[in-house]
Amino acid sequence: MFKWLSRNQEIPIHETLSVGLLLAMTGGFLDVYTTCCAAGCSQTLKPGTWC
Amino acid sequence: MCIAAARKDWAGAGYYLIPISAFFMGVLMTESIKKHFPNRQQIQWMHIIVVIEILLLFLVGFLPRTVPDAVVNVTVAFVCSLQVNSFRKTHGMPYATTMCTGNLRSAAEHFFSFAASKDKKAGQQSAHYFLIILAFLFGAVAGTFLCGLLNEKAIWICGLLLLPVLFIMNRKQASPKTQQTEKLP
Repeated sequence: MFKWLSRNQEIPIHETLSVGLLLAMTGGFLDVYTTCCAAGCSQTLKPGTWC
Repeated sequence: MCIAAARKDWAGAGYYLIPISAFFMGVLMTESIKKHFPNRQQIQWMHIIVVIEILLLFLVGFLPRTVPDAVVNVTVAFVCSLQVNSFRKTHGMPYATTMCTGNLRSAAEHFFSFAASKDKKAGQQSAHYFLIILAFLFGAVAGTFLCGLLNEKAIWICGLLLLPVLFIMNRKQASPKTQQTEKLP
């Protein structure tokens, strides 16, 4: 398991888990950034302008 | 968009076309950058994509509240498009970094293989997908918390998250596979 998670020279650097985790975090962040979470509303709004 | 169209709310339906078009343009831009900056060069096309992402995210944080939401949404959709079209594999397995339904499907599929046939590799692959999903969820939780705290400026934190990606990709790019150009369906 740990061997799998560690950097493998065969794997291109942009395919490593560390890069994947950071990009996934960014993706999750961006998903909520433009979504109004109030009362289950899914309108796309920027933060500070919750409907 | 289709719900709005079915309700004959043409303006509402049309609004959704804007971020969809931005996403489409993002894919076109990625392909164009990929074509003009092949991986054999010192600066790879993926570096350029990440730098563009960071710059756009920082720019969004500077936009005043008076700027319409559509401008922000279109920019974020464009950034997501650049990212999802550029980073399509992790450990050789297809994945997406801006949505997690497909990752969940892959995680469940590999988990089933692991549970049904005790395939150790499938178990590792499933764990890999689950880690990616956890990171996505962590980003969403952090985003919700930080948006409440910093409002529109929260997106700068998102830009900061991408800086280590640049650093990691610069640290080592000597791997032979890195030099290959990706061609995925």
